[in-house]
Amino acid sequence: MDAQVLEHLMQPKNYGPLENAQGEGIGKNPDNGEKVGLYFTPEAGRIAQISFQAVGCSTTVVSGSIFTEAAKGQSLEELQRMIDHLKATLDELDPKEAACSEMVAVAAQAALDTYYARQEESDLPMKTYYISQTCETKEEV
Amino acid sequence: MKLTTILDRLHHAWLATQFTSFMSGEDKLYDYSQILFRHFTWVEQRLVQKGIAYSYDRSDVPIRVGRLAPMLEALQKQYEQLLLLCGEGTDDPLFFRIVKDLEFLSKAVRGFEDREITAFNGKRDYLNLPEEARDALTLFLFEESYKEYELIMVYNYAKAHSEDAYLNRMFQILIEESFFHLKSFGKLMAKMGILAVPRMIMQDIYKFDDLSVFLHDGIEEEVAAKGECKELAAKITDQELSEFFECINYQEDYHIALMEDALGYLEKSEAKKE
Repeated sequence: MDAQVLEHLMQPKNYGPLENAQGEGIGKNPDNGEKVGLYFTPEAGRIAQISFQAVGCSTTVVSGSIFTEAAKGQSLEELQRMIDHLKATLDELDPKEAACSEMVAVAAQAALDTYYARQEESDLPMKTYYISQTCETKEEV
Repeated sequence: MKLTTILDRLHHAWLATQFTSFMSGEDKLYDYSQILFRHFTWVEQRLVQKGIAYSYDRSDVPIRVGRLAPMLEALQKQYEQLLLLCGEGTDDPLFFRIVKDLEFLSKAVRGFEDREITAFNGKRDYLNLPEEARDALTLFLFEESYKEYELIMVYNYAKAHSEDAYLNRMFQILIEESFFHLKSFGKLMAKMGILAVPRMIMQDIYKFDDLSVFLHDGIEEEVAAKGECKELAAKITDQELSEFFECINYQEDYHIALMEDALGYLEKSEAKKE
């Protein structure tokens, strides 16, 4: 096991809720109740604060930790590119790892979409997206 | 005094003390952590009685040290801050008790000898396990130590909000079982050099609407945990450790039986209402 992975397991970065987050979203696995919550607040167009919470396996925690750490200080456009990149690499992972990483990607997408939606209507609830093997997200009804 | 702040600090102090016992092997510290957990549940009960909203959200619990002394100093500081919050000289029986315990604990933690701590060195050389078994054990310990902490908190929250004697008996049994598992896994993590406090739990995990749904999911998780224990027992070459995981596997059987009983009990209660 990689020392960096072990470090993320022992001390996940950016873990926990984020008070008054402007972007917040949930990524869920419909098959087993596992989920990721991802929250962020931008300042001057860049991610100033970001955090996540997870109900899931170790891979989910490590993915969330690495993803949020990399997203810090990025623009919202860059965050979108990071989500797209993560989704595009899912095919290279084994199915279980792909589902865990996809949960982080769809949670980030839900948070970003919630953020943009709240620019129009500030009291909208956070969005929830489900993971799918085809990596397409669908909004919770 | 703000009860929600006291609850948060007690939560913090309980975990910090418990994990200090794992890193140091000092069983007395484990007993002290149990005292703090009891304080936590009593303050929680007071919050429920007063109808004050609360959660189990908490800040990080920093425990990574190279020697025991700084951790003991940190614990002492936490107890002293709690003493200030709980109010020395209070005549409320609950807080009088907590204050007296904290005064004792503040002195008692000074009595442990300083030593080197290897619980965070990441070496994972305990028992010289082959790489596959070592990685499997590592992942198992991270996932299951979180799971046991989650179960303690879920059943504790459920117990605080239930006046049903039958259900509360089951919740209490499962809390005690999870404490044993968490202690066993925490000690193993310390020996492996990968000790870590489990991450915070999302609120909707313990603030659930339907106990039956939770129990159904819980049974599925216990079945999955049994499978993982069996797989791990097969991979671990050390006989004692392998037997320990087999024992945990059998313990899960009783948890499943308890939860199935509780589901039957809930169904009967619902039928009576109709």
